[in-house]
Amino acid sequence: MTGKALFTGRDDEISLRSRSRPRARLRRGISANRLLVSETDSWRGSGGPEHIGNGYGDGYGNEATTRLRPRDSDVDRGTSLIELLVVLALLSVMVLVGAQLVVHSMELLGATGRAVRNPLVVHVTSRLRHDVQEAAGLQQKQWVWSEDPLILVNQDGSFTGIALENGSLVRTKAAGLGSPPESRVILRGVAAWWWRNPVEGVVDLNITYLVNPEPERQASRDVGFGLERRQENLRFAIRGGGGGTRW
Amino acid sequence: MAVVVAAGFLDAHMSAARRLEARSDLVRATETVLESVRGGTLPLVSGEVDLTDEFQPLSSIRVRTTVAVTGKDPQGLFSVRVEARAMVRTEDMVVTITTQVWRPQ
Repeated sequence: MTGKALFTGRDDEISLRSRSRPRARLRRGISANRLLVSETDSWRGSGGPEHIGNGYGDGYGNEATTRLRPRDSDVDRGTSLIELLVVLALLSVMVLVGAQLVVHSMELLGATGRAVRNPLVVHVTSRLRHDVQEAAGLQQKQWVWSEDPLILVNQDGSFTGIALENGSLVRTKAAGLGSPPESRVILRGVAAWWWRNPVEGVVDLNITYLVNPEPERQASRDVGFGLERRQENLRFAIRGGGGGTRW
Repeated sequence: MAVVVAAGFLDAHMSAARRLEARSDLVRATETVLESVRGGTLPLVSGEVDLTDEFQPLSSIRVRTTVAVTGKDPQGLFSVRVEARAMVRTEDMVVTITTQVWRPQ
């Protein structure tokens, strides 16, 4: 139902009022919307008003429609102090968490770069595993932990020695007694080397070496460059004798 | 939202690293038990194994190891199943190695 239908029979009166005081009527807000539409239609039907408003309209009621919007003071009433404080508190929490995240990410990045330079101990343990398991026996038995070189007697009569020399784990291979040995460093940064054979045919190895801390460890968050001691405990059964119970 | 997502990625990275480290420890514990059985340090019987003296994990996990021994044909041949288990965060990780041991009487 249009405003015109609502006010049937009173268009002339309304039109007269709007011509006399257009601005005052238009400021009555939404409740006057239908009424003003009716007024506009009336104006169009009668050729429209000569001039209404402040001069920005087209003379056909468009100015009136624009000015039907709620007043600016009703919409932009500003923010209260409490709202502002809440927003500031939320922003502070976000900045705090974000800063912590960035700091931790940078530490993680640096620790990862250092940890990449760690020796690949898995190759060393693989080498030791192969040497001990393929050996036929030990040249010298040691029931308690010892720092002395571990000398393995191989199936072909050659010798393989593992010893700690100047902070490096050195593997020495000799074809036999009196033959020139061939030495090779298999792990650097070794802090301690221990071995024993608690029972016949079993060799325990204990290697302590220095590495850069893993990025995930708490120690990696320390400022500076701190090395970490790691310990490998290995147990191998000597199987090179053949025909025994080691298989 | 970005902060929460980034924190989630970091946490996932750390969790994955811990799982890898724990898995490496479990493999080494399994190998230690198996070599102990082969070498005769541990008896060739089924049961739980205490590795307090022989093995120390690199990560902060508590490893439980069990051995299951099954006799096979011919006599003197055994099937040995070594299982190492640990709780990593809320996940129960298990590493198992099954092999054969020749132990004639």
